[in-house]
Amino acid sequence: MNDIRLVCNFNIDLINNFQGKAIVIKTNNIDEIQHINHVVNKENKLHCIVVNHNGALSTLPVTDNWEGIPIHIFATRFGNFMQFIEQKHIYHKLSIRVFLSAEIETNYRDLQILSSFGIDCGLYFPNKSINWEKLNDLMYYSAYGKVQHASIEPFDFVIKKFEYNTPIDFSNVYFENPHQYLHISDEGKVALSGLDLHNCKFITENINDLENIHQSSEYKNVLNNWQNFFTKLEDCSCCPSWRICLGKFNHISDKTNTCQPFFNDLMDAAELFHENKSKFKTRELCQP
Amino acid sequence: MPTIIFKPTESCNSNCAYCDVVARKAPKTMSLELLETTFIKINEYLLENNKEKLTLIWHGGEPLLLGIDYFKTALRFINEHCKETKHLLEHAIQSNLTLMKQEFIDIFREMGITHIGTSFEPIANIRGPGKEINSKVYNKKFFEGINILKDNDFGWGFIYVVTKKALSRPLDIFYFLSNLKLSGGFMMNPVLIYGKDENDISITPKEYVDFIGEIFPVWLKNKKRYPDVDPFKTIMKNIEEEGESLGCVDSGNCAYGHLYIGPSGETSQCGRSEDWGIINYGNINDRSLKEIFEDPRREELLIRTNYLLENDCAGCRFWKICHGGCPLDAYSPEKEGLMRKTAWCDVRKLFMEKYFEPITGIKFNK
Amino acid sequence: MANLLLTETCVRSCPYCFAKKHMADSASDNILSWENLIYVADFLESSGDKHIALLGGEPSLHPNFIEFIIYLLERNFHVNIFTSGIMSEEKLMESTKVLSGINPERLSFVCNLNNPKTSNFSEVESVKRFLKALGHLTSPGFNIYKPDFDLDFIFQYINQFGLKKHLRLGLAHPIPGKKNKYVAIDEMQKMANRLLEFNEHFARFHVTCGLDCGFPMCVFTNEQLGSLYKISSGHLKFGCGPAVDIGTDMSIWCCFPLSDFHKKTIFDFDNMHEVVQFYEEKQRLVRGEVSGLFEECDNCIHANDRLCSGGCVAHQLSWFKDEAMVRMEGIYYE
Ligand code: SF4
Ligand code: SF4
Ligand code: SF4
Repeated sequence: MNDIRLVCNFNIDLINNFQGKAIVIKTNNIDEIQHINHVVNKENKLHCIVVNHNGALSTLPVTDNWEGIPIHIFATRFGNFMQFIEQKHIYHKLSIRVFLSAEIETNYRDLQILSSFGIDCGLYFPNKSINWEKLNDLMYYSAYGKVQHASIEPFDFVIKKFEYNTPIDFSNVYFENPHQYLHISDEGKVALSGLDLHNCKFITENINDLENIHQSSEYKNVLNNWQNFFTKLEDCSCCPSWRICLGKFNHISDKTNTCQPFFNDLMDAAELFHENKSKFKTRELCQP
Repeated sequence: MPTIIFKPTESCNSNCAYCDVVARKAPKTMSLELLETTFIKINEYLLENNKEKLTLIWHGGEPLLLGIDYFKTALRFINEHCKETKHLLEHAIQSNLTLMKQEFIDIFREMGITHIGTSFEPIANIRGPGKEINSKVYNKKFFEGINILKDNDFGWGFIYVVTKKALSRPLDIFYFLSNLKLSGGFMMNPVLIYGKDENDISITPKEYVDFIGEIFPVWLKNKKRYPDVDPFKTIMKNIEEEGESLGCVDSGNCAYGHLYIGPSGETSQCGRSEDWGIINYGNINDRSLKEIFEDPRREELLIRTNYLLENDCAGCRFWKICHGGCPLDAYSPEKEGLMRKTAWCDVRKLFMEKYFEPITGIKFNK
Repeated sequence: MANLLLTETCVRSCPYCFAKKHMADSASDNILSWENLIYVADFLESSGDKHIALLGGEPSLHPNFIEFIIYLLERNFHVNIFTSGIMSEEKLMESTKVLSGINPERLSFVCNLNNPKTSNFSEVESVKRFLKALGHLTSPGFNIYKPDFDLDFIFQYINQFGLKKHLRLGLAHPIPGKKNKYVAIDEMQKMANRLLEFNEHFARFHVTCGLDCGFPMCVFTNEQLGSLYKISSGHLKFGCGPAVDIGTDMSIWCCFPLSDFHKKTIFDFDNMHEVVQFYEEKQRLVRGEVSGLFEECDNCIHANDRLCSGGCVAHQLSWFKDEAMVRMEGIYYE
C-alpha cells in the first residue's frame, strides 16, 4: 500500500490520518499553495498540488513564492499572449506543469508555444471533443521537435515510459491510475478515480482499509478491468496500439480514422525514442 | 530430452468446436493404480538413463478436472517412487485454465511448474462449454485463471487455432492475441479436423498460409513489439541458428523424442498419432518405458527422414527447416504411406515462396 | 538567416516589386500560422542560426504581428522586419507601445521607402507616422529600379526621424515571366554614376550604405569603387547568393526574383545549411551556362576570385525562359 499515492482536497484533519504518504492535493485556491506545501510536508510528502483554474492561464497570477513546489495547473485555455509574456519569466523558476483543455482548438498550438518556451505542459481531455489532426500535430511536435523543448503530456509520458512488453496507462499523468493513485473524500472514503469520487462511488468508506487495499477483491477487479475489452473481437481489443491507450477512447465510434491512427503514430514515436534512449537528454519534473 | 504427452484424463469441461475428444469416446480417466505404475516405470527408466531428462506434459481433456487430490496423490507417488530421479523429471501442463484455483498453483509449484500452456479464442462460440459452446462463460473463467497465474507470478503461453471463422480477419486476430499478452508467447496453428466437420470450421492448408501470410509482414516489421509469435519466430530463429530449435513437425527427428501415455495406459508416438489411432506402442502395464522408447517402429520414422532427403525432398531448398514434415501428415486418409513427404509440402513452400522470401528478402539456397 | 513571410498581401503596388510573381501565385489570405512560425524558429535554431527576417507582403498586416515578434525575441532571436511602414494607426500605436523600448541590437526594421514625390499622400503620411514612432529602430531601404533615381528624401528622413544611419540599397531585377520595372543592363553604368553622385551626402551625414545582392562590380569605375568602399565602411560585396525565403505555407525558395525556380518546402530539408547548399548548387548550374550579365563575365578574374557574381541570375533565367530548352536540365524551373 505504501507505494500508492493519495489524492485529496486540502483538509488538515484528513491529512493528519496519514503518515509518510505521497499526497496530491487538489485546490482551487492559489493563495493556499505555500501553506499546503508546508503542512503536507510535515508528516507526509507533497507529491503535487493540482490547481483547477477555471479560466485563461494568462490571468493566473503566478508568483516566485511557489519555487520548488510541484504544481499542476489545469486551465481552460491559454488566454492573452502578451499578458502571459509578462509572467513568463516566473514560470521558468517554478516546478510547474500547465494543462490546457483538449476541447479548445487553439490550445493545441498554444501548448506548442508553451513547450517551445521551455514550460512543461500538457493536454487534458474533459470530454469527447478532440481534434485528432491537431492532436497528431502536437504529438509530432512533442516527439520529433527539431530543438529541445519542454515536455508535453500525455505524449511525453507514453514516449518515455514505453517498454515493449508492458502496457502504459497515461492516466498517471492526471493522477488517475488506480494502480498508483487513490482518491480520498473529505470523509476519508476511498475511490478509484476522480470521477468515482465525484459520483460517490467508493471501494471502501473506511480510511483504515487503505492499508490492505491490495487484498480487496473490488480493488483487484478494477485493476483487471482491462480484460473486459477482450471478450469481443472488435475495436480496442484488436487495436495495434492498445498497449499505450488501453481503450481510453472506447466511446468514439469511428476508431479506425481517429484514435487508432493517432496512437499508432504515437507508438512509433515511443518506439523510436526507446530504441535511441541513450541519445536523448531528459528533464524530470514531478513524475506521474 | 524425450517428451511424454501424458493424458491422464480425456474428460473436458469445454466443448470446443474443433475438438472431438469429448464427442468421440466416453472419456476415460487414469486410475490411481495406473498412475502409480506410470511413475514407477518412469523411475525405472530414469534410473537406467540417468544422463537423460524427461518432460512430462500433463494434457487432457482438461487435466484440472482431475482435481486437487489427484495431483496431490501424483505428487506423493513421485516423492515415493521417484526419490532418486525426480530431479530428472520435469513437469509441464496444458490447461484451459477455467478451473484454476490457488490450491492447484501450490501443488504445481511443488512439482516445479511455473508456466502453463493454454489456448484462447477471440471469436465467439468456438471455445466454451455446453452444446451452445458458451464462450462468454469460458472467457470469464479463463481470465479468472489468468489472474490467479498473475498473482502467483506464473507465466503462460497459448495456442490459437485458426478456423474458417477467422480467415477474413487475420490482422484483427493477430493484434487481439498480441494485446492479450504483450510479452508474446503464442502460436497460430491450423485447425485439424479428424472426423466430420460438424461446425463448418475447417480450412485448407492454403487458407492457413494466406492467413499467416497476411500477418507475417506486420510481425516482421515490428518484431520487438510482438516477440515470440509462432510459427514466425521459430522459422527466423532457425535461419539464425541453423536448424537448432525446430518443433517436432519440422525437425525430422521426433522418432525417439516423443511418447504418448493415455488414460488406460495405452501408448503411442504422440498425442496426434493417438488421436489418429496410429503408431501405437502397446500398454504401459505390459511394457517398460525403455521397451517403448526402443520400439523398432520408431526406427522407421528416422529412416523416413533419410529416405525423403534422397527422394521426395531431394534438392528442396527448404529441407533444413522442414525435413519432410510430420510423418502423420504423410499418411493417406487410409493411414498408408509413411515413406512420403508431408501432405503440407505445397503449402509450406507456398508460405516460404509467396510470403517469407519476398517479404524478408532472405533467399533459401539448396 | 532566413526571410519568413508573415503575409502574402501588400498595401502598396511598387513598380519594381520583386515579390510580384510569388504574391500573384499565392492566395491573398495566406498568413503564417503559429505552428509554422514555431517550426521555422526551431528549424533555424537547430541550424545554429538565431537571426530571422520577417517580411510579407506587408508583415504588419498579420493579426499576430506583434506577438510573433515578441515570441521570437523571447526565444532569443535577432529579429529584422522588412516593412513599408504603412499600417493602421491602431497597429502602429500598439507596436510602438510594445516594441519601441526593445534593444535595437535585437530588433530592427528596414523600412522600404519610395520617393514621396511619386507616392500618394496618405501613404507618405503613414510612412512618416511610422518613422516618427519607430525610426530609432529603423534603417531606411531603397530599391533602385531606374537609373535616374533620387535619394535626397532619404537623407532628409534620416535626419528628421532619427533613423539608423545606414541605407540599404536594393537593385530591382527582372522577375522571369513577369513584367516588373528594373534597371536594364545597358543602363547599369548610368545607375552607378547616379549613385556615386550622392557620395558626398553619405559622407556629410555619416550615413553608410549597404548594397543588396545583384550589383555587378564592373559597372563601377575603380574610383567609384574606392568611394563606395568608404561609404559602405568596408563592407562591400557584389554577390548573388540564396537569400532563402520561406512562404506562409512553408514553401521555400532561393529569393523573390527566383521564387519559381526549384521551389521546395522547408520539410524537404533538415537544416538551413542544406537549403543554402541546394540553391547555391542550382545557381552554380545557371552560371555554368552563362556566367553573368556581360559577356566579359565568362573570363573575368574577379568572378573567378569571387569578388563579383556577375549580377543577379534572374537575368540569365529570364533569357533562358524565352529560348528553346537546350541547356542543362537543372537550370530550368521545376
Ligand atoms: S486507440 Fe482507440 S481503438 Fe485503440 S485502444 Fe485506444 S480507444 Fe481503443
Ligand atoms: S508424429 Fe508428427 S506430431 Fe507426432 S511427434 Fe512426430 S512430428 Fe510431432
Ligand atoms: S517443403 Fe516439401 S519437399 Fe521441402 S522438405 Fe518440406 S516436405 Fe520436403
